[in-house]
Amino acid sequence: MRVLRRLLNVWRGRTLARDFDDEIAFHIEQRIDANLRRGLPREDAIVEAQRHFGSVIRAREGMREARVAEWIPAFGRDLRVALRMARRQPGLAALTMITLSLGVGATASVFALIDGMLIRPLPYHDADRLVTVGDTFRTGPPRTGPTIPELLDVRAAATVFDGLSWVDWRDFQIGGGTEPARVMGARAEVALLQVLGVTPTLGRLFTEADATPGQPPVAILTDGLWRTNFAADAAIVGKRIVLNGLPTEVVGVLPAGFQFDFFAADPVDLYVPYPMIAAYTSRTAEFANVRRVIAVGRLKRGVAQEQADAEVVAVARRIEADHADLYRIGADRRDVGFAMHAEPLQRTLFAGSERTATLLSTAAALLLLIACVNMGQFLLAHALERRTEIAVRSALGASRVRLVRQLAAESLVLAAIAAAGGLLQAEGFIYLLRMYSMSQDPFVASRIELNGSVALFTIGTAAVVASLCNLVALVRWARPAPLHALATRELAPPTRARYVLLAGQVAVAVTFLAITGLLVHSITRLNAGDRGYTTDDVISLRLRAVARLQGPAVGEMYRRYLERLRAIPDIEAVAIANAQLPLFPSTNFAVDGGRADAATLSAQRAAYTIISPDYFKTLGIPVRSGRTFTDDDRAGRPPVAIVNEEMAHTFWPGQQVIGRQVRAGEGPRSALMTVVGVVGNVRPAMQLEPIPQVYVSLLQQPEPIVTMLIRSRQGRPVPLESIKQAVWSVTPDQPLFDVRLLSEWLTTFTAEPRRSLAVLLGSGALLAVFISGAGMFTLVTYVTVRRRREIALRRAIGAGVRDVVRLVSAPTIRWTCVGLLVGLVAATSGSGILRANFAGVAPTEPALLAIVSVLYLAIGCAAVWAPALSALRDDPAEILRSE
Amino acid sequence: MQGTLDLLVLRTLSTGGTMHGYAITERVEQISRDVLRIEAGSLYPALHRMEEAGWVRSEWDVSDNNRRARFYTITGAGRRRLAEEEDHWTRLTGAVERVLRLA
Repeated sequence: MRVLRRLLNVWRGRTLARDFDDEIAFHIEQRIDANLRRGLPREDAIVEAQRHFGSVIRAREGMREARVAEWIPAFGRDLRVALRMARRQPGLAALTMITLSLGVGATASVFALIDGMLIRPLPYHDADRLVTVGDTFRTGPPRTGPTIPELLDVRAAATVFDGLSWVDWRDFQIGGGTEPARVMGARAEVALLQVLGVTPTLGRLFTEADATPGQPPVAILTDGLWRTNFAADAAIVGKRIVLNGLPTEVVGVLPAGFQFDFFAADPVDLYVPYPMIAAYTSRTAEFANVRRVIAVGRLKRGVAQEQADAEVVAVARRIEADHADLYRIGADRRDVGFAMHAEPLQRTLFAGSERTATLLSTAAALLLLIACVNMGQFLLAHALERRTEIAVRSALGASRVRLVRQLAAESLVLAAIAAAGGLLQAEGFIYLLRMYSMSQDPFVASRIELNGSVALFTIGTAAVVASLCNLVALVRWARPAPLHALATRELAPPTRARYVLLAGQVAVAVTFLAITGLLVHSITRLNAGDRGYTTDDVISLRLRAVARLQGPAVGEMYRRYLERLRAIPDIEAVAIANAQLPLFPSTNFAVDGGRADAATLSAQRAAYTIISPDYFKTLGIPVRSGRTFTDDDRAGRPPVAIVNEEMAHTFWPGQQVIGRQVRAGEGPRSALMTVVGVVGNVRPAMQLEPIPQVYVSLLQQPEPIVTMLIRSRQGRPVPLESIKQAVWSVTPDQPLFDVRLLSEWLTTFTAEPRRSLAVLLGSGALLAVFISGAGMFTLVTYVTVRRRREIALRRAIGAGVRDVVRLVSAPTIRWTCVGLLVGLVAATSGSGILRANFAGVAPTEPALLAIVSVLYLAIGCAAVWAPALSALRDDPAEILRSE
Repeated sequence: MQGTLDLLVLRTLSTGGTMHGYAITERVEQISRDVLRIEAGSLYPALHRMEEAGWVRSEWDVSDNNRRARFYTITGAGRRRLAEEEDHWTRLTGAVERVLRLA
């Protein structure tokens, strides 16, 4: 009640003030009357009464303080003071606020990324107990999925898990729609869904019996598929759907929002039990050593990650000892350094994004830092300007508490503006980040959002930054002593410290700009020149062989598709391959006459592409010598291969290549083949140097999941319908999906990620330039304002425009150059780190650095020019008279 | 001492009934034989503070010489507060006296 009245009194200020004045006046009049009664002359009576009363101001202030919730008007006053400052130099104030908001916003958006990746728990029950188990080798890829026999051994021996399971993903063909449709299915080992802690909304999860060979097939639908394909049929459990041509019983439906498709090529639509057939579970069977499952375990309550890892490592050591022959390769039977590790699921999921996150958070931190320096510069100028005011106020008895309170209020205003601006900025940056992550990892993208904790972080950062900046100003106020400040109205010129800060700011911005430049430049380098193939008029679509066909029958079916498609007049060439382009190395290989020791073998990696005969014609890859495949290169005929020029030059320089032997292919595909042709190099993704490429015949290496590449005659696109009809005339239930232009596919998978990273960093660099430009502007403006009198004096005694400009800008330009040099050195050494992580980045690019330098000096000059001009606009005589 | 000022004002109001600020200073000076002087600059803030605290209430009225003045009256809460303050003061002065005598 009382508090409320005090609050309401804020708006009754005038009435209250009249009351106070009346009360004071009455008191003084009473005293005058008494004095007159004592016989004092009137003048003396008045003077005595006033002296006797003491400070009217203090009384009025005291009464006001008692009656009014003082902090609101105080806050208002401080706001007004701040606004008055802002009005005096509106551009400067706005600039400073904007730069601080930008810094805060950038930091907040990177926090949103880190929050999504590392802080916010994954959307599973007790997600911190989920781990992945993976194989590592001394050489070769960093971490792969274990084999099924390894996982069975770990499951039998380890005591730390509540459950250990695994999953891989397959295309499935689902019947019942308007045309054969393809869905993405997870083959989940029966325990997987329990391990993840999900409860079905309908029906049940898998049981051991579901995975036993020979049992009737079953499936669990995701909420999405259940709604889109089965109209959310509440009685779906127990019904049969047609999956890969087989009637399959639906046993359950998963809740909305549940997903576990981080490592899958596409979002998962349904789950089927992982078949526990000998081909997978026995160490000697065909697919036993294929490492393509993701293994997920749930730790027992209270088990630490390290403990789990230690146990998995120990089990792996026993596995290696028991099956030593499996972990030796090459002619010298070298040990591959096999080990198994358990690590938190969250770490595995975001391992690929860590590098980017580090890069971006460093960038954001630097932005915030230079924005802070800027703010500090501004507030310092502000504080110096106000030193007189502060000195007057404390001389008049404003308490220290009062001053600090004013400062706190100002920090609050500052923080509020920075936080509000920062949140707006963050919104924009988060959009950019999401676009970037979408191409990298949709799951990360889905987790980047402006949620409560990000907002809290933003506000917190803004508050801390504002208080820190103001603290600098406070220290500044504290010295020299107030009275001294009053006595010497002339204020000191900016100290060297401020110029050092400026130089630091410039250095950071230049580093930023140069590094971004190098990254952008690397994209140009990667895209420039001949790629070795053409994507013009080529569309790609994917298909998966219907399930009833196995082995050579698959290749034969694809051969018949191609035959029908070639008959379509507008199709110039058509091919089927296991991948669109040989962009990534995917197999180890050995060549006859080459070295066969383990070290050499594990270092020899080639792209391995399974193709139909017209692949090279379709993509315009030149055949340099020998021949392409024919329909006669089929199962039962001698195995053949085609290699690229890079491989031919490396292993058989200047020699006959045709007829040489090469061994390539992973697992059961490994075969000794005779080279029948040499073709041009295809430029690999994200790399400048060519890689060895090996092509094998589709008819010799059957592959059910393939991409079809169709090149139409120039300017005459082939209707999709005629392609479908041609395929369906061979296999009526063949699903075709993921139809797109090859060029578009290429952009999405290779160029896009780096381009968005460049856009992100580029906007950061622009901000950095803007912020440091603003910093220069602030400093020079400040110098100019401070030295108005000196400038006027110099002009009065004949200094010209050039002298004045030199006077105010010389130190700034000098220190900018220092910053520039430091920045260039930092960028040159920093590019090494960039080069280690991103292919195609040049060590240094003198032209680029030169451009950055010139650009920077231009910005510096512009930032200096405006305030210097304003100093010239003033009439010197007037200034000299007025101060 | 702020406590002392509150004590003097409350005590004066408790015996003198309804008074304006000037009368309070007069009364204190008179009774203390000019030893205690209350600064107006402190008195009025104190009166307003005590009214906010609920120890006194005030109203505008006409004074003896027909002028508009603000008159203060002690409240029940003010009397309780006065008792506390007096008690505190007695203990304090007693303690000081003992120290002066015995130390």
